[in-house]
Amino acid sequence: MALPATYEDDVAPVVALRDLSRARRRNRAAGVDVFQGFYQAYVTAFGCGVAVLLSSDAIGDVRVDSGQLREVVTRGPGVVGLVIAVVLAIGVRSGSRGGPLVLPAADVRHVLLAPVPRSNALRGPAVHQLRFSAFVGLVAGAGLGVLASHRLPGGLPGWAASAAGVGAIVGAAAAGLGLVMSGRRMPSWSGLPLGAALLAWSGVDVVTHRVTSPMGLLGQLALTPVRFHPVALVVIAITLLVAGVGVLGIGGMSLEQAERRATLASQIRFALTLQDLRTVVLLRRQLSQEQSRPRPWVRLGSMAHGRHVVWRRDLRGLTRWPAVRLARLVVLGAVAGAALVGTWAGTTPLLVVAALALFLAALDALEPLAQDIDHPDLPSSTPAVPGELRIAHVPVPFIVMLLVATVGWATSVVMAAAGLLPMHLALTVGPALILPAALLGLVGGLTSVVMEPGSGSSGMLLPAEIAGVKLVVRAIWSPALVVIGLTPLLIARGAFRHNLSPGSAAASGSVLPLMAGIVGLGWLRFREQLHEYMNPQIPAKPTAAGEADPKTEA
Amino acid sequence: MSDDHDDGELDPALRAQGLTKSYGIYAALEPLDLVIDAGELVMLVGPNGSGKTTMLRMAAGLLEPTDGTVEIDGFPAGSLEARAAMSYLPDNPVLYDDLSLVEHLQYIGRLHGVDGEEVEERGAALMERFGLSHRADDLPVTFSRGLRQKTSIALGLIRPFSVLVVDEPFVGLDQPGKRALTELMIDAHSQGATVIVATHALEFTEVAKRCIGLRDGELAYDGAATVVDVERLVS
Repeated sequence: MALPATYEDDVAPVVALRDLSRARRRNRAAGVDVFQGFYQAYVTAFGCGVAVLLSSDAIGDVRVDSGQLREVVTRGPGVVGLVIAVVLAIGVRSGSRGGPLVLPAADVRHVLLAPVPRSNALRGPAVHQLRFSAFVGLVAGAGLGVLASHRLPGGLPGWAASAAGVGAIVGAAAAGLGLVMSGRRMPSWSGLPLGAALLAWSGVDVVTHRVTSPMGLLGQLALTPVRFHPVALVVIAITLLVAGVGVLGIGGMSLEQAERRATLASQIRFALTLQDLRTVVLLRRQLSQEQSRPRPWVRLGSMAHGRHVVWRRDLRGLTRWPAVRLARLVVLGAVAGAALVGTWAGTTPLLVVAALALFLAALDALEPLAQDIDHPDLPSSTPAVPGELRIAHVPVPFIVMLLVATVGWATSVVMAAAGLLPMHLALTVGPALILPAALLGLVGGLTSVVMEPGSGSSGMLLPAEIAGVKLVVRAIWSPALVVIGLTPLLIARGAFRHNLSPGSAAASGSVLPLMAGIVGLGWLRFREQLHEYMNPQIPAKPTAAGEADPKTEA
Repeated sequence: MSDDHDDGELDPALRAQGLTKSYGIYAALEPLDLVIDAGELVMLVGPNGSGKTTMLRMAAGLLEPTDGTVEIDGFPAGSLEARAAMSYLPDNPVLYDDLSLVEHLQYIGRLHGVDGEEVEERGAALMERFGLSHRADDLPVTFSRGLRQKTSIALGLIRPFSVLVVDEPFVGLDQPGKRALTELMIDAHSQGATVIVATHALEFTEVAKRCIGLRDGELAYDGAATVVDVERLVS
């Protein structure tokens, strides 16, 4: 044993860290199979090509008229700024919980506990995070720019460039704010009010039609193809400042948060590779420290007597939801409503955004059933039929989804009041959408919760192209069901364009989605019987949640 | 081997004052006052959930106290000086998947200012002691739980330290591994290091001079390490 040493200068640890990176890169490179890498690149390129071919036809939108263009110029910066504020608020909230950095657990244990200045050790990962966030923003921005170019004047190159640039700035700013928060060890409760303040500031811009916030300035930059505001360029300097402060101050981040994130993030990545959405949901809740309330919002009577014990158990779970989950559902409902208004206005791909929002809400609403699936021993120890037990879990989540859809409708009414949509459309088409949106949202969530994550070996004997398509279909199947629930909007829009009553069209267009939803519930109830009928040679041995035992199948 | 960096008095190896950790309404550690002098060999015992690991992780700087302070060699836990002084061996080994065993030893040694021939000699000696020499160039992803634990222990011992904090060190180790670790801890103690070991192993009472018992996050015992007292504390 020798006396402990501390570094007089910063050179030695930097050299050691650099050597570590070099050794790890070398070892990783030694483990890479070049031919497998080329094959994966080929399969990815094939998948992307198919996606581009399919989506290029799907986006067939109408160009705005001069009146709408004036609206875009006047209100656009504020509205875009509000969306950007949401992204920045997410960055702030992540920072208050130790994000956005996710270090390898071994780095937390060995590097951050060594007598190495933490600012030296963390500066590299912080810069890497900024670069990555900016890149994600750039790609997302470019995609939105392409969408905008379909409806607005300014040309594809102009829109793609400006939106990609703003996306990169927003990504860097969100990561930079997170780094500032985590480097200064801001308490976890501070993320919510600070994020809300950003949203409120942007909300003021939207209401007053004036740009007072940096988010509004970014909105102006994003709309450069229709009008250029030189003063908006100042946000680039603000972003650089925030990012710089974040990188320089990252040495102060909490090891407790860093270790927790390191562990959970690696588990989330693993779950994502298995497409195990339920595990991702649970781990993400742990990551954001979202726990059920020790004391319920409302105290319910004893469950010891009376009927419908499953409903009442589900209600109990509902009364213990943390405020943040309630708020998330309200936001998801509002996002769905706003996206559907955008769809009505002509940007059809926003229908997918609405469907994804409802799908995510359903994953939260279905928590009690998901817990039964997580712990199959519990329901299997009861004398209940698995399908009946699953169906008994449906009513409470369905009511939740009805409320979420109603929030979406209320959002459309508010947007109509703000002049973004004719009020009579919000009042006639909106209500007709509530029931199919809620039901198919629920059914989409149900299929995701009940279906097992795909096993890596199931596609081993298939050609990569087929296995890849199967994988993609499996991933998009559940959200696609939710899209079916929103198709009455498209039918109503078509009717409106042909001078027919949109409300009646939406109502009659709801019939097929509702029937699809009922079929989905039937599948939930009779899943084992259907499996047995379709695969008579394989005895379907139901386990707790009705899953055919994979070991028995094998 | 503590410093007398401020007022000429020798600082204790570990000093906790009002050290508290809570998770919401659950208190993992009630306000704890504790002094462990330099050069002591201390056994920390208590049933599961008594607060041992929480206390040690706060001393290592991995957990932030809800209230109170903890100092290592007179420096706040987690500070550069405290990190240089304390080697913490956790109960769950965490290793890089893409560094071989010998690269781990070289890297951790260098982060702590040990390099060149010194790190190679020390590394070779530790691998020899734990029977890991033939796995020197292997990646830890191929290691069993026990081998990972031995690697983690070797990483904690290759670096210089004046305070060695070990949490449940014998879990997953075979008998030769347990023997080697005990001998290495005694070696470190005989060279002047303070050694704090959280363990349920009764045989460690033969080695430890002092026993600190925790129960429900509170100090329940502080005295000689006897089998009877340890059995009572962990039951």
